[in-house]
Amino acid sequence: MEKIIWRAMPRELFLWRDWDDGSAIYNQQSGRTHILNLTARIILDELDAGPATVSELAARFSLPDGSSPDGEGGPLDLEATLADTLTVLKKEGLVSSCHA
Amino acid sequence: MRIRDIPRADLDRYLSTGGLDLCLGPFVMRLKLAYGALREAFADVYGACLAAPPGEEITDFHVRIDAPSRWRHWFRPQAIADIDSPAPFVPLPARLAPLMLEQGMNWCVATRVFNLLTFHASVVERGGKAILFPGRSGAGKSTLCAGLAVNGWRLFCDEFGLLDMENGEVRAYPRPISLKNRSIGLIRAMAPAGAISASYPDTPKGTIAFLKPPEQSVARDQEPAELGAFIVPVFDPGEPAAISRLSKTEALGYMTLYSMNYDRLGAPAFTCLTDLVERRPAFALRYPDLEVAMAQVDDIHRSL
Amino acid sequence: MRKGEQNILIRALREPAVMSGLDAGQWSGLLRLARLAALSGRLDWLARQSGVFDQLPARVRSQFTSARNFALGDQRQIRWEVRCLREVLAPRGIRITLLKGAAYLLAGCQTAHGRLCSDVDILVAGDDLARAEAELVAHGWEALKTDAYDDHYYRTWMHELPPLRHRERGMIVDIHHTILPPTSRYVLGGDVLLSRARPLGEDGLMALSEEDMAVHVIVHMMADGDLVGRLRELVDVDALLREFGARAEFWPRFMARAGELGVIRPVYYALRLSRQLLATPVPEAVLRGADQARPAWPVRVLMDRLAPAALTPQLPDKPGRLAGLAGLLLYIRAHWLRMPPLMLARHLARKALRRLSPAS
Repeated sequence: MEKIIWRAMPRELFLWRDWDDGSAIYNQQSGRTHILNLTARIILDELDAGPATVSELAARFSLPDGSSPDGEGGPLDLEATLADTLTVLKKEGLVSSCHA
Repeated sequence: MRIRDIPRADLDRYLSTGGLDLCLGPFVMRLKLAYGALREAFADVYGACLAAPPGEEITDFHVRIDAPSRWRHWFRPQAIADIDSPAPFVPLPARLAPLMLEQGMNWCVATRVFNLLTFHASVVERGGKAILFPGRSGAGKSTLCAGLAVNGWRLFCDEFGLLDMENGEVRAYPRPISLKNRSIGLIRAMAPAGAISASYPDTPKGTIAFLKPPEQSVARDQEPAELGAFIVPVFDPGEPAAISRLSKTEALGYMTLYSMNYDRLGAPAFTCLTDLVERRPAFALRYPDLEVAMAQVDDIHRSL
Repeated sequence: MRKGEQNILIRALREPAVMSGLDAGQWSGLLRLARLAALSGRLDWLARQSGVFDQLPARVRSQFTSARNFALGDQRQIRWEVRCLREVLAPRGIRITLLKGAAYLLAGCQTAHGRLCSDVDILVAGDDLARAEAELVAHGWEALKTDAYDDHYYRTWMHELPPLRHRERGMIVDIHHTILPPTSRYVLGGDVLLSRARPLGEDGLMALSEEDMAVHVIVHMMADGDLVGRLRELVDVDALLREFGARAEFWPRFMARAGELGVIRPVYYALRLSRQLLATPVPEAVLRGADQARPAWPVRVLMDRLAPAALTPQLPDKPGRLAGLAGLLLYIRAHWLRMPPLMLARHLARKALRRLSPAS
């Protein structure tokens, strides 16, 4: 399977506010404003620390005993959730991707 | 000079020839009004406002209300606004010309102001704190604003929230409030005698009448105020009243949605709005009737 | 407003310092004219550059700030749009040469300050045209809705494909392969201009040479013939000539290029108008050179009389009679310049028919 590496866009491009329930981000080049929930914010914070594939990100989110955090209906398919969120973030211009 | 103090003959002459400069809030608008009945209605509703003949003030916008063509001045007369550039106005029957005047002025503010951060919103003020109700007209916002304006609150504006991006202050622009159908009677019952204009039946939205901007609101139109809170009003006759606190992301979402020029203004608008959202509380107010809503707004204001 | 004040906008453009001495009535007229001519942002920038901004009345400063913020928004949108276009086309080997507003902005020209610009105009090599359109359509752009006649007109007779608009951003891009329609008297072939294009620092992004930028705006302004409402373009001509002409070597290159492209006649007109209305400093030798292409005296006198009147902005309440007539005569000349008479008649009839039918 192809490995896709995700990376966060450089923070200097944005004006940024972090709040209890999410973040407000203004892209100074595109002029667009993004309002993110906590999940998206956490993902961006993680990618800021270093680019990663979906699997690597999922590993960073795993609980100490190796299991995945729960979603509303039970154990999350963490990788699927991350992949979906990253696709949306890419469309919004907040992350970029390339093939390994 | 207050419009009601200008001799009627002079007023008529200005409005029908070189124009009259209406000086209200942040804007000076040069008005030219072609129909006698329109001029009379204007003098009645804007009586408390300041105006000057051309040449004394610097004019921000030009609004001319006239027939769309010479033909339409006499045969089934119509009125349309000319504001120097194309706008999606649909001609109205001449008897509804006052509505066209309001539309024309609103369009200028909605599309040409970029030195202030502007919103579709109603704004009232008391005790130095302004409350901003984001939302478009229709769905009860204007009725609530009018109710507050005749019950001890200073009217800033029913149509627009105007923010100074440098200091976060709100500017006043107390134009008449357009009331529809049932609201007319509701507000008339609360307001002093003569506060409401004649009614205009058979408009595309039913019967319309205007609450004239209260004297005190007009007298203080150059006085800005600090923003105290955002309240998103939701009129819901079937449900009991409820106030809920909005999160910062929700508040920002609403405010950017209802801003007219946020997108174009860019970074300074983002900074101003996020600052305000951080410092000021935001609420959603669901209310079944006007009295309840007004009481809830009082409560919120007291808590600030 | 007194007759002299009809030119208050031109006076302010030529000599920004006059703004510090205007009364309320003059300001009302100037602000209104500037808005109508899309030159409010330009006046704001001139006021700031010349140091008079702080002396202006508060209401004027608010209006100017408003115009400035509006123009800044346009500029941000244009930069982003150019970036998005480049991201699609450059990796596929299609080089974009920017034209007009986008070029002025990305090349750092003085005339970009305070300038409104809502579309991106680009020139691509004839060979790349079809591929450019296809790639953009595949990446989120769509053709603006036109009927079959307009589509045919655009593709066959005009110098551009029908404009493309990005589905989400709503920004319009015009892709050119020649600068003026093949049916007009002046043809600026895309390949001729591209041969002198200069890189703009980013891979795949170009602008016309300085001479060609000046020639382009001049030919566009004059060859179209409809001078009414084109004061903005004259401002571009003046600003570009001042900026490029500050280096003496520009002028001989410019005149040589104009000769090469067969456009000395429109250059003659533009230099005269720009000098007359905006006091553009043009070296004597250049004026003499252009003068050789001056038209026969009846045309010359007519143009001398009509052109400034057509360019001078009019207040809606008091349009000068001459300006209306000037505009109409020049408009007819314009379309004649563009299309053969038979085609012109057919096109005008079709446009008139469309105006009469109910609005869709």
